[in-house]
Amino acid sequence: MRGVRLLSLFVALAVLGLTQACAPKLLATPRAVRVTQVLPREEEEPLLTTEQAPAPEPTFASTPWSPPIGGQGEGAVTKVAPTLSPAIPERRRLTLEWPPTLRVGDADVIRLTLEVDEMGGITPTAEIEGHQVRGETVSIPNLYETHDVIAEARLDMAGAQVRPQGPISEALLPGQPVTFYWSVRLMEAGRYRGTVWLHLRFRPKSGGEEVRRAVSAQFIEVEAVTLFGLGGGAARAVGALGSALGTVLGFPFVGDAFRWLWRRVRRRGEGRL
Amino acid sequence: MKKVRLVLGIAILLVSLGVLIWALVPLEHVTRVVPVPPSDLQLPTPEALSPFVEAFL
Repeated sequence: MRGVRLLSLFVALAVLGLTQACAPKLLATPRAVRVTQVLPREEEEPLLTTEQAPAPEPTFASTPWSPPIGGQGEGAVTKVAPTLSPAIPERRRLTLEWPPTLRVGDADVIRLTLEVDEMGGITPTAEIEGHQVRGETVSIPNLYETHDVIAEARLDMAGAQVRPQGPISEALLPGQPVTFYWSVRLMEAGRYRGTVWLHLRFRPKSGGEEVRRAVSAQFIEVEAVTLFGLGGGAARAVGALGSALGTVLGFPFVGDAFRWLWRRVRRRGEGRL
Repeated sequence: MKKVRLVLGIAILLVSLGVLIWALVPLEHVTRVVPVPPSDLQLPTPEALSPFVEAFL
């Protein structure tokens, strides 16, 4: 009897001891939302992953890292912020107009327009030399609210007189087109090839470094022509003089009319004297 | 003599008018329309610069 009691006491103590040892594991509850965070090394950016969390929105750029709410590790919850870069909320198109042929010595205008694409927002199409181009509508943060946007254009054409030289800048306002004009004069016959550049400069309204981005670089070619070696100005002068001479020679009554007119002018002059 | 003068005059007139028309006719212009994709109207992203950064490093 005494032995049974001792044995029972021993078993009870053993069970109690085992229970105390296993309690932390048995009592631990699974976390509803768990955030694991790989602590960054100095040269690496932190990676943020989620478990049992809603799927993050598709990212187009890296997100700035923010620490989880309530500290790191257990039970902390962090939202994955939208990662779309701000952009201009408009569909835009570039229209470039230039003369493929130019008379030597004459000047003409090259025009570049950055305008709102009126077909934008649905499925815009544009023709480029016989091709159909389709665009896509993307919902993105408004860049006009956070930045001053400046359009900068430049025409590079070796051997040509281009005015103005260098880049031209215009503020790009919401819904407003921006147009750039260059006057080009070619002084010698031949083919001239050039590039029309368009950059956008983004200046933060809150201050900070300006960001510049190349949007377009379009190739153009202009041929300077002459007529029997005559440029535009010389051809006009020759044409005018030759026409007058040919009229006088070819139509004798025209010469008689000129002589009559001349005599009348002289008589008036003598009458006044 | 009068006939020669007449023919010469008319020939000079026609050639000169041709030259004058060539010098005065308005020049043809070509227009090219290029749509600007939305990605070109965004701020440059760090990923866009990463190849340049890696090359620099």
